[in-house]
Amino acid sequence: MSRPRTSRSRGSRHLHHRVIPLKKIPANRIRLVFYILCLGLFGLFGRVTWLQVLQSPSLQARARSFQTQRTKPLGTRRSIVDRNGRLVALDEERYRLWAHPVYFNFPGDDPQLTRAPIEVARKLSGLIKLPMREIIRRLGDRPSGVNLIEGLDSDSASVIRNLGISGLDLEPYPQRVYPQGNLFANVVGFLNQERVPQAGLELSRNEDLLRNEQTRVLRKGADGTPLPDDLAPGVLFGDDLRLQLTLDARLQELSLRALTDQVRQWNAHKGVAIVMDVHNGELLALASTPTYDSNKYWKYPPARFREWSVQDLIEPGSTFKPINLALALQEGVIKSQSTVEDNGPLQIGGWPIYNHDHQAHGVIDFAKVLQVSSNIGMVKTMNQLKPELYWDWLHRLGLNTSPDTDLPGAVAGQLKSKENFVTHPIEPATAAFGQGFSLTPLKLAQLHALIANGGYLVNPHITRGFPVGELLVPPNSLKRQQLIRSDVTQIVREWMESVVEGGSGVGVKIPGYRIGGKTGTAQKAENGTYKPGSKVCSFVANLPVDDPRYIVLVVVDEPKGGNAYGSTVAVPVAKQIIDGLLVLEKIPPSTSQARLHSSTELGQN
Amino acid sequence: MRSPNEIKSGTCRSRQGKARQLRKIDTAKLSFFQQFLPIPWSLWPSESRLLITLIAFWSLAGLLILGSASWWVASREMGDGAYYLKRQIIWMGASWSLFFLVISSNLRSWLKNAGQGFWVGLILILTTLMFGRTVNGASRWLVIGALQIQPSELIKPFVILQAANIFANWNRLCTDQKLLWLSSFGILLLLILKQPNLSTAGLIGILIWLIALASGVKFFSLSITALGGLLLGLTSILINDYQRMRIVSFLNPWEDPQGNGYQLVQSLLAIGSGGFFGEGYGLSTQKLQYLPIQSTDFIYAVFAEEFGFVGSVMLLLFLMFIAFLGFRVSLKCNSNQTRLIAIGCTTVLVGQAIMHVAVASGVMPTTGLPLPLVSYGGNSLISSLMIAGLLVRSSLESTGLIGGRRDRNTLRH
Repeated sequence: MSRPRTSRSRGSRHLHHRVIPLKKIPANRIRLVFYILCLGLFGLFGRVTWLQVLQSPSLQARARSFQTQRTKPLGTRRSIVDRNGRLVALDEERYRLWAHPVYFNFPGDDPQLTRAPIEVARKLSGLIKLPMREIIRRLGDRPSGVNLIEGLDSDSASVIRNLGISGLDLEPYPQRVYPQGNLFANVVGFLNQERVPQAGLELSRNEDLLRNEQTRVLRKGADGTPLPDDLAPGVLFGDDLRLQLTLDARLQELSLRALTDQVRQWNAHKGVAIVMDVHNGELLALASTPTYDSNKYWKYPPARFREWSVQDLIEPGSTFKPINLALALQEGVIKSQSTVEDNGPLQIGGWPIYNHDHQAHGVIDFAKVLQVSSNIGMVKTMNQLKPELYWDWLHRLGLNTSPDTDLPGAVAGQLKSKENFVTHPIEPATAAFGQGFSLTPLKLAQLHALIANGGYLVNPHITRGFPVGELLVPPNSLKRQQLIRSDVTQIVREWMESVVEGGSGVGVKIPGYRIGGKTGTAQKAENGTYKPGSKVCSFVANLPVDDPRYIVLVVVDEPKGGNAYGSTVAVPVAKQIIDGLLVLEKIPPSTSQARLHSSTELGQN
Repeated sequence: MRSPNEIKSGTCRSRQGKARQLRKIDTAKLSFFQQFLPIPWSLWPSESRLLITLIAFWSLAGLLILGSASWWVASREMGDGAYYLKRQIIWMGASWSLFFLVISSNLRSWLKNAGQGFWVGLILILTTLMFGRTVNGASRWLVIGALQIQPSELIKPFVILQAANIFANWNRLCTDQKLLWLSSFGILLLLILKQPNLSTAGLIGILIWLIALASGVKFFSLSITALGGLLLGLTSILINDYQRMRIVSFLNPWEDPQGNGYQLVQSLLAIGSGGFFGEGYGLSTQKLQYLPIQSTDFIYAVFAEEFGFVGSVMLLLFLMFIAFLGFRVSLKCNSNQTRLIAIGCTTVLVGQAIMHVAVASGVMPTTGLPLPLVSYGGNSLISSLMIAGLLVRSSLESTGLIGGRRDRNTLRH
């Protein structure tokens, strides 16, 4: 109460001095200002409540959609490597260049400015394999979403990215590349443009080759820095497992080259070369011709996309004779020292049977039977085996079942029905020299592996699985069943060695090494009759004879020319493969004497 | 004329005597910090104590918030996460020195020189229009060596002082003087608008108007001026494309969230994703370069995302407490000038914070205003702490122990 009075009294004095009275500023005006500020604060309280309590969930969801990035799986596939880790198939990152002309803007430009397509084309023309005119043509008048070019490698992609032109978008995608070209096409197969597997392991092991990529949801800063929160466990984890093959790229290449040359020289239909580890069934080489390039599969007829050596049947001919002899030995029909009389053509069931050279060889032992490839001797020998028993053996060897293999599309061989086989004497007779039934070259290799490894049936295969880390997968543990006694196979191997020492297989003879072999020149049947002049020439070798580790099988289908035999067509290919194999697998010479021999020979050279 | 004053000075003298006694007693034990205080801490009125404590807390919290808001962008753009923080700390030191200078100097001398300070500021603003550095189409800065001066920030304390000068004696002024100063204020606003800096012009306009309101100017003239101000603002918006665009994007930011609405949309997303309890200190995602100018104009959005609704309410309560203290100080002041200074300082500190939050939360059109003591910027800090110093000084002078007419006069009577 005192204050107003004070001011009034002051005021009266001022009035006296002709000064307008100075009133003390009223408290209610100051309070009014305070209230106005409070009003503002309450207003903000309301707004903040609206934004942070009521609208928060929807705003947060919106913010997250701004901030999080879903990376869809690119669908990358695992690599395939050979037994030494060499890449056979891999995914390379390629880029697709998208252009959005409405957003064309160079770094440093006014953000509102839109550059003309020609300016962007000028900058790009040196960097991508397109002339400027073509770039402009592709851009056209379209505002956005122009797919300018595909298949840019990561180097040119980063150059384009560094230009910093907005309105250009690089989309990464994986591209399957087969660095070995046609070398493994027959087993690996290929992916089509849509990355759908079409053949080979790519098709048969598709599930395993697909990387199980997860859709990755990642919160990021506006500059793309990933934030570690909200991260599902394992989304950044990517395995780099690779499918390992048992094949050896070097041996494969050598085999393919030798085979291709020979097939071309003999104007043959097709050919295959197989190198197989007899103990575990691993294939070191499976070369097949004609083949194709997985990178350019569209340039080849689709018929080549299948591996014929596992899908096509052949009559093995004489290369089957050692198998038959093993059966005869196993059943005690013959002994290691037995002989048989080859006295020229026979009539069986009304059918004439000749030796391939239409000659008679007299009384010969079985080493000689193989050396001269005596059909008569074989027929007489196998005739001593009851047809039922013989058929049972062929069945037990799995001639008419498909082998347990990871090679895609393997088929079973064809064997006459047991009834037919037993009732028609011609059937066991022709079977004795490898005709009248058919099997795949792969099956033939498996049976010869049985002779080589002491009587076990092993499963031929080309994959080892997915090695972890840098380690390569150790060879599969042995899981095999013995069908033939090992002493029997030992005898057959020695007979086969004589074929190389002084028979039709002499072409693969390598001083110092003990190699067993057998040639075959089978007639080809078509629609139930044998086609004159069309043959399947083959040669099978096992080495080293004293403790065989490998068999080498070469089959050439329909070589042209009168002189086309297993010894002339298939043996030279096998020789080259065996030469390579000895070096690559570091196989020592068989005996100390032989070693000495080879070293002196080396010395003389 | 003397009698009431003598009564008053008498009470003053006795209190002053007590103070002197206290000062003598405490001389030996005088703590280091006491020497920076104009009167001993024990004699400080509770408002001053609270105010200086709260402003110190505000400054520290501001540094923490700025650290969080600027670290990422500083490390990305400057290669040093602490780039802005270090500079802010240096400016903070300088500003606090000024703060202590202000609370130690007589308001009377500030008032005496306010006119000159105002004219210098006006000339500097005029200079920015001619020689200023232009950023984003606005020339607000003068570059002197390594320093960037923003006269429109620095002029704020002088506007308060000069407005206090004018409106405290409003009824005594002759019409010429009224017209001179009103037109001077008008020219100031026009110059700031010309920069263009709509937000600062608006803030200073509202400030002058509120000081006038507090001083007791007739409501009729106040409403006429308010109307004139609104018309001025509208004209500015209509003339300047960029301001019109901002108004349009303000009205519906979601229409063009990638273009004109981008800033506001990002700010709203930041505030909204804070939710009730916030993401936690340092854990804002929007500050990772989604939110533009996150360490100045939109620093509240970062704060709101990190501290949530709880933090926002605390901030508003804090501001209300400051406003309340300022209001109390103003009521306690002895002279009309100091009353107006106190309420003017309160209005700037709280009002600018309100406008900042209002802009960030989309209640007001997007024009950059720093959050006092929090946003990055030396000019804003200097200006804000000077204003805070004036407020504390007003409170200290309300005790009658210092300030007003020189003490010695009353003592020698």
